[in-house]
Amino acid sequence: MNFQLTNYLALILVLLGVHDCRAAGEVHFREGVAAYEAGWYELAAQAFRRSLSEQMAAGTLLNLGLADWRSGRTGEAMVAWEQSAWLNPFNPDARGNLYYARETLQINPLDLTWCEQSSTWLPAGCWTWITGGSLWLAVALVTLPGFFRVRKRAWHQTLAALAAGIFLLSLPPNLGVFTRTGIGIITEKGTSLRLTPTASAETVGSLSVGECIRRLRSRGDYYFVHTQSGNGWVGRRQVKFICPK
Amino acid sequence: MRANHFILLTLVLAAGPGPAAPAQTPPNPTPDQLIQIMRSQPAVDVAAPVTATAAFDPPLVRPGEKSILRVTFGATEVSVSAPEKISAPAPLKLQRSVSGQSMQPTGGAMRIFSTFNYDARATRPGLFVVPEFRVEVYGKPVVVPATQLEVKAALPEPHEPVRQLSVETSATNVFVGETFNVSVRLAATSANGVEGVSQLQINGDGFIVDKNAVRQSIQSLETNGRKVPTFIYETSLTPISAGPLALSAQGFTAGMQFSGPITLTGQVSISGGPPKYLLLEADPVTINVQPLPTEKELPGFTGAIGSYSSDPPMLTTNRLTVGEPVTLTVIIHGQKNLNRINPPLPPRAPGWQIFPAVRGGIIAGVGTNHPNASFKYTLIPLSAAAHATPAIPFSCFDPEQGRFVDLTIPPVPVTVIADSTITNAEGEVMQSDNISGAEKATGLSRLAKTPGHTAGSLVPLQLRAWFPLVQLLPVFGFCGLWFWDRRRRFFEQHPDIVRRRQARRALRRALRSLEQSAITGDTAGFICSTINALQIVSAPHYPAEPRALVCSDVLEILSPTERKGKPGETVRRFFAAADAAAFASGAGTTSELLAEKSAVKEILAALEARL
Repeated sequence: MNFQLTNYLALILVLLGVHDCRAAGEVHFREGVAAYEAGWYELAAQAFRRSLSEQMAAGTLLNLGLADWRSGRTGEAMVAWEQSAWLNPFNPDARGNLYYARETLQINPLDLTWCEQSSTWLPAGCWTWITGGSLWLAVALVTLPGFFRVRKRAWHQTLAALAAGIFLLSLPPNLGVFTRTGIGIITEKGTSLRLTPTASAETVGSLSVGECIRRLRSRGDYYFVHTQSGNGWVGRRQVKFICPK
Repeated sequence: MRANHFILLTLVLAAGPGPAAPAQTPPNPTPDQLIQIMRSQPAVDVAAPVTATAAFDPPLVRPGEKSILRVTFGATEVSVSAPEKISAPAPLKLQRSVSGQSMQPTGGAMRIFSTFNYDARATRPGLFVVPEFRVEVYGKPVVVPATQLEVKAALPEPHEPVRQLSVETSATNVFVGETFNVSVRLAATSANGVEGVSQLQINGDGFIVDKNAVRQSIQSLETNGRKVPTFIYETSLTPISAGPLALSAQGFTAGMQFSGPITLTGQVSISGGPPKYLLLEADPVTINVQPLPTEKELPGFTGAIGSYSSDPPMLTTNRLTVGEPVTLTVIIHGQKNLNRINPPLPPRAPGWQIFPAVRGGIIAGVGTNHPNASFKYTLIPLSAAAHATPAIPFSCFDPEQGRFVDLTIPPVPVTVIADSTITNAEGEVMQSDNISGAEKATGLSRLAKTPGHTAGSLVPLQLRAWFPLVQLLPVFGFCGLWFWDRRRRFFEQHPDIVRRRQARRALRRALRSLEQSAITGDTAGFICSTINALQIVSAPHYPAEPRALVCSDVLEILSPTERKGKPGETVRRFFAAADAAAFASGAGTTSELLAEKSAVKEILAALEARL
């Protein structure tokens, strides 16, 4: 009896905690909206960041991007919009803002592979559930009738084949989601593309704020990245990733 | 007021090919004409022996007052190895300042003279003689004659100080890229003779001089309470680096020779006769140049710095046909630097083809209106779905407010009519531009009113630590089902194992009942439990239903020795007692069978071991 009571109390506390986080996040969200509408973009950005620390939400990220853009932090704004589109690719505003930003800054988006392109059709987490669900559904439909001595029906086979197909088709988007975690955006002005991962390295090019990079490997305080102007090393502080580790 | 004081006399003297003069493009001369032009130019005398002169200007000064030691050579400037320091008596300090060269007519030919100025100051009165010294010119030594400077505490009036240029700027605190005006002035001499200045140049680092903005004039300016005719050279400077900027100027006096147009205002008297080419200089002026706050730069900044405003953009027509070009005119108002404004690059907008803007020129303001500059964009609608021209981001930096100002060219509503005669190529262009509705937006979106779709983290599920564990759950489930099925199939193929196991379990129950009966002294129950146990432990060997076994069946399981010995006898006695209890009319005494408990248990143990 005592054990059950303890479990119930723990469940209630967890639910209350989740509710508190959401409530606090929404309070900060409303503060940010009010500050933005009053033209205090810096305050709005701070409020949206506080809201995100409580509750990660696509709308909050979209608004954070707007506030950052108005505050002159174009790189951070583009990161926020990319993250908003990462969480909710069905929201056209984030993609529209990114398009506008790239047109304004005269920056070309990074070329995505077909796997990555397909992974943008759904939220990043959906692909994983689709892959896992379809795999185990196919396995269950194939094995469970045998285990339970149930005669295999035609629809069992059809559904299993369909699930297996979905599983195979969802593998490339999952790979795309994984590789997209290495895509980042330059946020610091005057970022140099270096030949070696050292402060005194020869500069092989310069990257403008908002330019997309793809992380290939890291060493010390530097990332070896692929950009549209070539490969090279950039400082860790000069780039922000869509999916921070 | 005397009328002649207010006569505005403007003379345009086209004495030379000034940069601001409207230049007509002459036809390209033929080689013969070029030779004729070259021959018509006065000869340049380079054969004359190099001579040097040196003189203080003025030769008589007060202690601490500036004088200039002007050393002139009849040679090009680069050929003279002028010393940085010249030896002079201790109280006299000489410091090299500016240098330059000029072409001067001498006896029907032109000759090149180079002048090197040394600032001279003496701290106490006296007659200071700078001895002659040698300077290498064209690799040969040339003797510079001795000269002297007299310094007196009391000088007869009027005493004229050193003649030099002065530099005035329109601002002392500017931002990088902010253009400001500079005027270099040369006041008339005490005899009111004003002179022009040739080869005037602004010295310093970190700025660009606008040669097209040069204006020359002679005006009467008030100096020390009296109007002094002054030659004024005005131009615009644009700093290109932040930090303190030291400006100075130098030039040669040129008498009444002026290069380019000049405006004369008021009564002025210009010195006649041949000019005296004296190299003058100005004391440096420091300008504080601040960097732009680029961290707050707005989109569309093309380097425009100044106070600007824009009119609503104008289209040649608002009713368009797909594929028909239309001109969008943007007018920017401002007071200065309008010619330096670069039009912003047009954005790539779906449904539109936009060509980079061309400048429409500068239009002077009328009355209180500011002058304006115009850009003209050519736009071609590629789709009938377009309802407005795309917004073109544009911004400038206002140095007065110290911040960037948004001058984004707003969309202009249009009605686009589809053209049925559109070509395939245009159709392909339209198709390539057919992007999602989200990307058709030409500006930033509005604020999201709700937080919207939420997530615990941006990290994808497959990279979170708990995700592999969750995926292991179905693995364990399916493995469990597989093991269960395998075991079940094994038992189906080996039913004797199941029977023996069931017999062992039933035997344990029968033994417990047997023990209970023995403890309570229930002979009938004891016999029944024993028979039951013997049947259970023997049944798997046939296999058969335990209750169907009789005494001979149980004896059959025993070895022949046991069958003939005590165990067989015990089994027979128990079965006989059970049969008597079941079928005889009068039950015999069976209480002694309770004493056979240990024997029974031994038999059952032996039989269990054979299962």
